[in-house]
Amino acid sequence: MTEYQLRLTLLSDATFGRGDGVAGLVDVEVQHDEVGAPFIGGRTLKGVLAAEYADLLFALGRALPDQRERWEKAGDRLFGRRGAGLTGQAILRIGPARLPTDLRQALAADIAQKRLTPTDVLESLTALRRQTAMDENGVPKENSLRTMRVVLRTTSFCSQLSFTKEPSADDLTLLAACVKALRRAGSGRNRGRGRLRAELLDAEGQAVTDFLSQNFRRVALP
Amino acid sequence: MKAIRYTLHLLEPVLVAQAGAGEENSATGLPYIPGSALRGALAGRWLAHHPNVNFATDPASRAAFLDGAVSYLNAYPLYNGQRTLPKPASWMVEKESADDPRSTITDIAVAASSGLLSPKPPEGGFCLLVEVKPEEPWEPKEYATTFLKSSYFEQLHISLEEANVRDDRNTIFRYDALAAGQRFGGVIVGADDADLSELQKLLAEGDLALGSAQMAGYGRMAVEEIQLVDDWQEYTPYDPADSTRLVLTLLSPAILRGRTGQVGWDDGQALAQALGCPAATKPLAAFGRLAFVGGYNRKWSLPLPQDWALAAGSVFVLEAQDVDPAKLHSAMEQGIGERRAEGFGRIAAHWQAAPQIRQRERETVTPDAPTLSDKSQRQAQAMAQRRLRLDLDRRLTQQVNRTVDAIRRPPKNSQLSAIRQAVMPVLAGNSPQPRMQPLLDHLNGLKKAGRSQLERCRLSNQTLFQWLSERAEGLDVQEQLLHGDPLPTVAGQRATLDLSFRVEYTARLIDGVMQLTARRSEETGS
Repeated sequence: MTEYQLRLTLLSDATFGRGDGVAGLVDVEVQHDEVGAPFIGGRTLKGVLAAEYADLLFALGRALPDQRERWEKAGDRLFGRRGAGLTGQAILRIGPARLPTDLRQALAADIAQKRLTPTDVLESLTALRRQTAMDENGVPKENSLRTMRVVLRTTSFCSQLSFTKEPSADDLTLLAACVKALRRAGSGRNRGRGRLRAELLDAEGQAVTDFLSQNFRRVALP
Repeated sequence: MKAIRYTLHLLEPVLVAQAGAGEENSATGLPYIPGSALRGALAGRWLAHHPNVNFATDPASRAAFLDGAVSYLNAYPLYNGQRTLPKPASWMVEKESADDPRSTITDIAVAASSGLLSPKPPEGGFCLLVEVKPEEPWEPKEYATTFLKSSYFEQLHISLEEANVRDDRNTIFRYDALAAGQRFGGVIVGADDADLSELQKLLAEGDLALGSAQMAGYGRMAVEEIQLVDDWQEYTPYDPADSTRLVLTLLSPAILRGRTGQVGWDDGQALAQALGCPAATKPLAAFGRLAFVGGYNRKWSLPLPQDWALAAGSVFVLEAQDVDPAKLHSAMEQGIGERRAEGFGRIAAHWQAAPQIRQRERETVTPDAPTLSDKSQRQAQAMAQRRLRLDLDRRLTQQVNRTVDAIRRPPKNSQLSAIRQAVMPVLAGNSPQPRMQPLLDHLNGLKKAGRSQLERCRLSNQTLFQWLSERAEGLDVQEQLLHGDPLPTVAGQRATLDLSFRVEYTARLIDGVMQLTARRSEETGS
């Protein structure tokens, strides 16, 4: 099975929300595992990559309409079609983006020996940010104070990408283009949060984003 | 029984949804990995090797997957390398000691009378039952069990109708999946060596992906310790205390239809008929419940018709003489009822032999800490530094309050403000001078009036002037804030209290003391 890795390094604080919070403390909690380590879910990653693909396809459709069908087929193969059965399923599996395995194992050992708690781990990788809405006079609106947890900038996550069938050159090119286009993710990404650097790595850990996406560049910028 | 034993190590959360659990958009996973999902995954691998075969009619495909010659048993949680089994529904503890992990269990299917005032099932969905050899040969046999519960991982998700569009057509739903890291013991049972060898090769082809959202963060598991076993036993039968009674335990859900063709709770009459008992036979006792079962067919992209089944762990007690031995033996080997190829209908006889069973606490295994890579060491070091910062922030507030409480005859607020002004460049990090030099220069350059105010003000056994000088020169954060406590450690990496930390927190301590002293002076009007 062909495997790649997607490495995401946060350039600004980011919130990958869990969907709920902790009453009285945090309104928006970040996704974290049993040892307290934040992670980015596979579905979230698939969503942001598919969103970049949708943007690229739209732009291609306007600029180079004769190329659209080619890349739409590659996109269907990579991300699948909604409601697909045995045919039409995605060939790309996207795992959750996590901290390095050896670090998580070491944290689990610390927790088992009661040197740390999952809360200690979470607090050492995150911070709390507060914001409130203002009315037109600059006065804070009542009941609008919100607390959200952010994963601190410079934290790096890695996700396993695997293919259930051998990908074509176009599939890899499109994937690399989507990775290259990915600049922000998570909540508040249009308000300064969630800026990141995404890199596609091969099985040996070598960055291949530029190498694989150069085909797309040739197509888009003839 | 010939069987392939294997271990499934969950690398990601796994969601094989229970039928009828929760609202329609959300899903709660089964506490085990059903045999039907495993059968489907291996059928997919088989088809990849035989793309031109008509799966429904090809004899080899039918034998391996469809006609019941091979059964794919449910993968249940492993404990100490052994496959646990569903907890019998007839096991009870006294309600008030239900939380005690060492309370004695009474098996009311075996015991003459329960003797329990308020019976309640013990916690835990799965158990490992063992016979405990007595110390002396004349002592009665004892049995002990350890309970296990599968761990779950809950996650909220949003489904977007269109990428990049947030509107009210989008759906929020919740997945309650088996947590990653757990290990489950699976078994494939069959009579034909050739079938089992082929399936063994399919299992060894690498990680499996089962259940929902396989393409996005769920479902991946490693297949480990694959072994072909000639004489596999699903459970250990024990000598019953009363050989006239046959205690039967369902080790998986069973779909058994009564005379009307329906599945329902009939106190085990359908089971009795299936085991060759006379038509009017009613079991002596029955404990358990019905469960809703379903499944999914990827070829159709549709769920299977849902049905009721007798839940795993249900217990029935029959007169031993009423049961046909051949039918019982066949049921124990091949299962009973419908969907046996998917692991339904597994049954045990004489597995429950003792009226009382001791509980054992689950042993916790402390994982070994691995050697960290350079990158992980740097991350762990950053985490330790952050823990140090959080700890210092908490202690700083306490120390500022303690120090100000000890101040007597505080100087004028103008002097306090001047000291804060001197510390400000250090706090802002843009002082061209090293360490706390701006404050030291300020203290050394004080005129007589200002200096005398600082020397008249006392904290415990020293003047404020002395306290400020000692802090600025010594940068003794370890003593002032940490009071000698060790620095925090994360994954073997200890935080360091470097110069920048010591300067920052000394400056913040001095600034905090000055600010709070001034505020209190204003409040008291002095």
